[in-house]
Parts: sequence; C-alpha cells; structure tokens
Amino acid sequence: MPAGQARQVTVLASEVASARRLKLYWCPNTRANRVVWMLEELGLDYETVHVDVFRPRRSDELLAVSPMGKVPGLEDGDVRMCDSSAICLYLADRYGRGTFAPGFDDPDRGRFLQWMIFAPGVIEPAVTEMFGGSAGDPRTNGWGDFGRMIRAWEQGLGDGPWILGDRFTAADVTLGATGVLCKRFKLFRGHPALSDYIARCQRREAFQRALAVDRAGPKSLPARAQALAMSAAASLAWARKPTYRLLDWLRRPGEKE
Amino acid sequence: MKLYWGPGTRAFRAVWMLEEAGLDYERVPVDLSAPERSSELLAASPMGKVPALRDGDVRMWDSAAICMYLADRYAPGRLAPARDEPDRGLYLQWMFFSPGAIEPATAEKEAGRLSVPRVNGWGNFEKMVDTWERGLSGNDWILGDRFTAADIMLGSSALTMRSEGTLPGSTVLEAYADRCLARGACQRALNRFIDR
Repeated sequence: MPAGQARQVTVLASEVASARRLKLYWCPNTRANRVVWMLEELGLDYETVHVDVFRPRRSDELLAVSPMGKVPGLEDGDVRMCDSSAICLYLADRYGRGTFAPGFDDPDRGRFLQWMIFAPGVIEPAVTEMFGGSAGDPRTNGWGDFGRMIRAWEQGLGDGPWILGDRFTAADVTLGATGVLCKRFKLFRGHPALSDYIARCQRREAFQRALAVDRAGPKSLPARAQALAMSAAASLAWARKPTYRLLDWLRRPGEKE
Repeated sequence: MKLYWGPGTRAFRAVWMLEEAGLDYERVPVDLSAPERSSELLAASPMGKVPALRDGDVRMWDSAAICMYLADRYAPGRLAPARDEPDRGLYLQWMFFSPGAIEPATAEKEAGRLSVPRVNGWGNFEKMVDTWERGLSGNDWILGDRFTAADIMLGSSALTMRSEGTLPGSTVLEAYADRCLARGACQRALNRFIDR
C-alpha cells in the first residue's frame, strides 16, 4: 500500500505540473462556466482568455482550438479542443483519476459515459425542440422528447444524491450546469427530485467559485458592461432578444475598421 | 456481452464498434414496433432506446457512450487514444459531435425550425457541416491517418444521412462515407444483420 500511495503522489505531482499550461477560452454566461466549475472541482491552475462572443470575428488563436468559434475552448500543452462536455470528460479522466471519472475498468464507467452524453445529446436538443414548438419523432430522435428526457433523468437520479449515487463525478457537472438553466426556465415544475439535485450542485464550493469567476467577469470595462447585460438577459427570458440586438448594434461601428 | 439491437437504428454503430474491436457478443433483437419494452432492456436503457449494452455488471445505453466505453476498455491506444496522448482531447471532442452537433442540427433543419446558432451548442446545419469537413482537412480519418471510434460515430452519421438524403452535396463527406464502407468491420456490421 505505501508503495502504491507513493506512486499515486508522483503521478499527481507530474500532472499538476503540466496543468500550469491550461488555458480556457471563456465568456461569462456561456457553456464555458461548466468547465470553470470542473477546473475548480479538480483544483487545477488555469488561465482564462476572454472571448467577446458578440464580435462576429474570432481570433485565429480561438479558431485553432474551436473551429466553430464557440466557447469554451481548451489548450493544455499540445491538446487543443472544444465542446464543454468533451472538455469536462477530458479533464476528469486526465486529472481526476478515479474520483471525478470512474476508471476505464470500473463497473460505473458505462453509466458515467452515458450521463456525460445526456446533457449535450439529450437534454439540450429535447429542450430546444420543445421551446421551438416542433415535436420531432421521439422514436427516431436520439433524445426522445422532453417528457421522456425528464423521466429518464429523474429515474436515473433515484435517491441520489448524485447521478452515480454517493459519488460526485464530471457527469454531475455537465448535468448540474444544464439543470441550472432548466431550473431558471421553470422546467422542473412537478419534479422536486431534480430541483433538489440542482440545489445540491449549487451549494458546492467549486460551483460557487465558478459563479464568482463569471460574476467578476472579464477585466476590460466594455467587456464587463457587456457581461453584465448578458447576465441580465440570461435571467429574464423576454429581455434576451432585445439585449442581443442592442449589443449587436453597439458592436457594429467597431467591426467596420 | 449482450447488445440490445434493432434494424436500421443507431445500434448499427455499436455492432460496427464490436466488429472493429473483434469482440464476442450476443445480439438481442428488440421489437421496436411494440408499445412496451422488456424490463431487461429498460434496466439498461430507461428510455427504451437501442442500442443498449450489458457487459458483466455494466448496463448502459447511448450509441456514443457505448462506443467510448468499448474503445477505452477493450481497444485502448488503438480505437481510442490513451488518456495522456495529445490526441485524446480531439478524439473526445469528435465523439460528442454526432449526438451533440450533427443530429440536433440535422433535425432542426429538417423540421424547418429557426436556428439560433449563437445559443445552440451545435451552431446550425451549415456551420456543423463546415466544421466536419474542415476537421477532416484532406485526411482519411478525423484524427488524421489513424482510424478511431470517433470515425465509427461520424462515419455512421454520414452513412445514415446519405441514405436519408440529408448529406449535403459534399465531396469530402461522400468520400469519407465511402472510405468507411470499404472497411471490413463496417461491411460485416452491415451484412451480419442485414442492417440497411
């Protein structure tokens, strides 16, 4: 056992050393927040690079990491990648071995991966489809429909407290972050188990630290004003479209140069 | 290992993956036209969807999750880059692309729904196709010379879109679909259960 422990410490030390190179392309009130939360859970050092998502142009630096120009994007040494769920999975596998992601031969691994896919592959398309007012075919859609999605999520959670039971993993980060949005849009009416689950997620220290990073916003003044407007828009559904339009309009003169 | 399967579904991906990995498995056909699903299937797949997998104590569903699980567990370093390989990040990013970008973007376009590319994780259909094409950037496979489980996900999406007539007139993606079809394991997956 002592030998095993010593090896574990060595592995962690070398991984923490390489973690100093972590660079996160980020903007407040976007899916980048769930990666900040993941990084905070893992206790890693990272640098945030603010991306102004209202500028139509993206820097070459960001596009090299995220071809659609979306945030979040991650740089970790030679690793350049995008997609919030993929990044959370990558970080948990690489730096949270056995704790934030079950190992490859752990019996929980399968269910863990299934729930890692659930936020981007099931919740988001099902919610978007419902808001868009078009019901697709739940038999052919991978995400079924909104009702099936909610039932599967609730049933999967069971008595909790986390999606894999007693163990908090990266899957709770992606589900929790998506759930915070669902809660804001009052989609959990009649589903107290899911509301409670999200409240548990929000009470975590790492979640609170990630929230503080978003609230502190970027350093430059115009970027901060914009982040404030976006945060207001995020909490008031009816204000979103006019706010986006206003920000687009304000941006326009700058883009002409 | 037991695979819950139905013809003409995403279960094809799991079969192709099992064939690429050279694993032994038993196929359990699921009658998708029946209104009820067996409790055995529901234990692995609460939405009653196929594919679902049972491997010892592991019970799971979702084609992307199953392919990821099988590649890491039974073909590490071959069909999935190892956890500390520089390719690992990009590999995971592309593993999420079919369920998280291709499928919702295609469904949105087919439904004629207004797309909000800034908010949607998948952008919109055009951005998705452009990203996919540029990801291949003249290479045979999505990670370059190396075929991985990400090509099973993306390749099966391309093949499905081709058969449904939703693959845009893209020579890059057509050629990619053809390269996938030329693989022995893909052919075996297609022929074994006449899954067209």
